[in-house]
Amino acid sequence: LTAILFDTGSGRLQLDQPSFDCLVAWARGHENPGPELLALRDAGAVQSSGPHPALARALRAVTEPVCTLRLRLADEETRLKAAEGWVSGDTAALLLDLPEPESADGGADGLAPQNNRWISARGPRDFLTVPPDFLPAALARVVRLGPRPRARPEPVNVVADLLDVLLAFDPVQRRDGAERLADILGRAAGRRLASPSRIWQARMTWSGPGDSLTTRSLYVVDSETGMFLAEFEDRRATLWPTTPTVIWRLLIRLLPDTVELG
Amino acid sequence: VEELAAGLDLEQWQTLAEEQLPLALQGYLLLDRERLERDGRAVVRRLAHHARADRGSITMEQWALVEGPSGITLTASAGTLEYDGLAAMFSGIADDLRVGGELNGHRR
Repeated sequence: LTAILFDTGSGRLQLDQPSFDCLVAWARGHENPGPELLALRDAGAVQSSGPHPALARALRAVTEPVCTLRLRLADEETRLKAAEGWVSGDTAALLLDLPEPESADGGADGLAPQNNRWISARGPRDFLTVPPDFLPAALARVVRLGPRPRARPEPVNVVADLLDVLLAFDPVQRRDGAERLADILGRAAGRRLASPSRIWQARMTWSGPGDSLTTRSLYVVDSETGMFLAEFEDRRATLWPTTPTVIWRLLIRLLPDTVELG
Repeated sequence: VEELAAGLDLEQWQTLAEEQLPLALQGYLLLDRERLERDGRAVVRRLAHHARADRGSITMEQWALVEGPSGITLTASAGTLEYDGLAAMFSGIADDLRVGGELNGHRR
């Protein structure tokens, strides 16, 4: 069990996934949310009158979201990290994997597929709140968006399965996929790549008019030769050269406007 | 417009600017930087995010160039959620920027 750390000033909460699930179950009114409730009380996150005031809006965003966000990232060492987000009114709540040391078996993954969610199986997570207009910047920091060399203008064709494998839960599959991608990008650039690319996918979902579920997503390959945006078509995918400026605009566009929300 | 120290070129000036911006702007995050050619001149274009207590999240785009002893910076800022709709206009303004000549006996 990860120690629960709660900053009463900012409302920032560091906890593991079972403790977060317990907190959300408690906020939803479950009678027995889980054994982690005691530690949440000790940390000050849960009080007899309700959640700590610094946490109240974040928990309301989680339990009554207008939009939900999922982000999965494989870093340059093919370690998998995840983020979840919930937006409601004037609040965006984020649950992020925190960096953790390499485990003895050489894997530092905090992820495992559970109930089809991209959630952390172990390791500390960071629960924090930002105003919705700060969500693009929060995501930009998670994916380390910043100046990059410009890739050659030609698109690169790959099989769509490769892009799935790059963010697979199995670390062996990810490493194999990263090597295949490095070969492909190296051939396209005319040189050997020194390190695997940073791969990430962000997906925002919301209910539009008539309760229709709408999803907007972007899949980015951030390589040492430049950035690429993936476009999927059946079993093929095209990696289009792009720039950090375009990615920033797409991060902004992840959030639906008022018309889309109906 | 600012007077540059003797011998300072565009890259050196902008490297210094990049050191100063995080100190001047809260929550500064450099998102993109590229070197362009505009009207036969070297231009450094920068995209960055920062926070303002009264306006919230801000996206800032800058174009910097050197004219003689002067460093010239064009800055366009918008609330981050409005930036995507304004980016083309910002870029158009930067494309139309012309430097040089005389106005009332002074360089402009």
